[in-house]
Amino acid sequence: MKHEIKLFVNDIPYNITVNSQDTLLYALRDILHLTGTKKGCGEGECGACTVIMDGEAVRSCLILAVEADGKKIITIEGVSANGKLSRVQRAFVEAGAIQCGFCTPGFVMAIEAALRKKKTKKEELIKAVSGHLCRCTGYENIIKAIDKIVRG
Amino acid sequence: MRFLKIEKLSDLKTVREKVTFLAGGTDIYPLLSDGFLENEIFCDISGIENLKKISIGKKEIKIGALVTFSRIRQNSVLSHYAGALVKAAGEVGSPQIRNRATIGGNVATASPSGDSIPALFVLKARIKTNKRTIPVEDFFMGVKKTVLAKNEIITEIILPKNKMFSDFVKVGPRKALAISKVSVALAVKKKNNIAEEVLIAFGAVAPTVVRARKAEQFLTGKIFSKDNISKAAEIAKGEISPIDDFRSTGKYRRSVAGVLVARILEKAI
Repeated sequence: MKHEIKLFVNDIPYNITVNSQDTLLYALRDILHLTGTKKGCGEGECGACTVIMDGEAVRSCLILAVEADGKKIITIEGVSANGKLSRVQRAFVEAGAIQCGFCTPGFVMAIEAALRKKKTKKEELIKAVSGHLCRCTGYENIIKAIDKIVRG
Repeated sequence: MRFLKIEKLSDLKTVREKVTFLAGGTDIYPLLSDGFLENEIFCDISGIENLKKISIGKKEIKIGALVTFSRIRQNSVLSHYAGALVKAAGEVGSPQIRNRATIGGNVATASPSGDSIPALFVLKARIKTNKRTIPVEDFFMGVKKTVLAKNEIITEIILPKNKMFSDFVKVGPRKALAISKVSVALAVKKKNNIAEEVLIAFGAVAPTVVRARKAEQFLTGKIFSKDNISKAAEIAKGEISPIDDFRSTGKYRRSVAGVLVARILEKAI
């Protein structure tokens, strides 16, 4: 079954046609070619596909594209402006919180969502990324990046 | 797979096919990506606005079926009257899953390890559907089986507004995003440190929630002493017979269950 939907991704409106079973993740990556959002497990276990939908951090592999019809979505491509990294991205780079980099967009989006909800304490940001997996086990440096963000 | 959407409860009448109702979807999509639900018809109910309210009445608290766990977790009135549920809500999945997953969905999915369910047992919840209201202990029939009929959906969870102490603890393979191996919910009414009423419910140790009725009975009318608590925990773990599976052995589950009961009862002192 085909559906015509409208997505507002990083402030740009898109009209696309999706199948019933297509996930939001599929629509972002394979229809809109915004491949910054990663597909890890595809079943909500790893957090690599995290995006912000109507202000809330969500796992785009656990949302059907049809359900996102009319929603405002921010992906990793939408957090930097004019080629300048966001403060979260900068902290990740400076702390070396990136090994293979596959989990990074998910971690960054979870923290971005928390900061936009005025959650700025270290415990709040750690809570925000709980349930994210880093296969390189680079958690130590991710916590260091969070420390940098908290210090400002 | 096909996808329908209804925006009003009254539109349920227009649904003629056998459908799988979709709220937050967090339990359904993993099955979808495994290719299980290819011939399924989904009916998305997440747009029904009047199922998203939490209303605090004089005698009852009504939680709409589409209220997310994030909202339950943050509700200060609920933490006053339904501590066990608020605590359980904070243990479901991860923050992003809690932003989508709904209480109605957790109940309707009827997983043995559904974290809200033991909490609802000790809080004496009633499950309201578009057709009837059912006490929570009569709602579950087995693993992923409930009394819900075709075209029947949960509309509200109703809790009596009791000022009982209640709490929830679970053990999973890790802290975050972990399915429960054993969970325990407790509600206690005390007077001068004597238990007037005690409710203890286990999750994830049987197809549906198990109440530790002998332990409850043992504690009722007794002082909340360390000695009585450890006796109650010993009785409680004898009331379950958890199975071995790929997550844990039955022996481990039973042993942990006793520890959890003791730990949660100590908080009620």
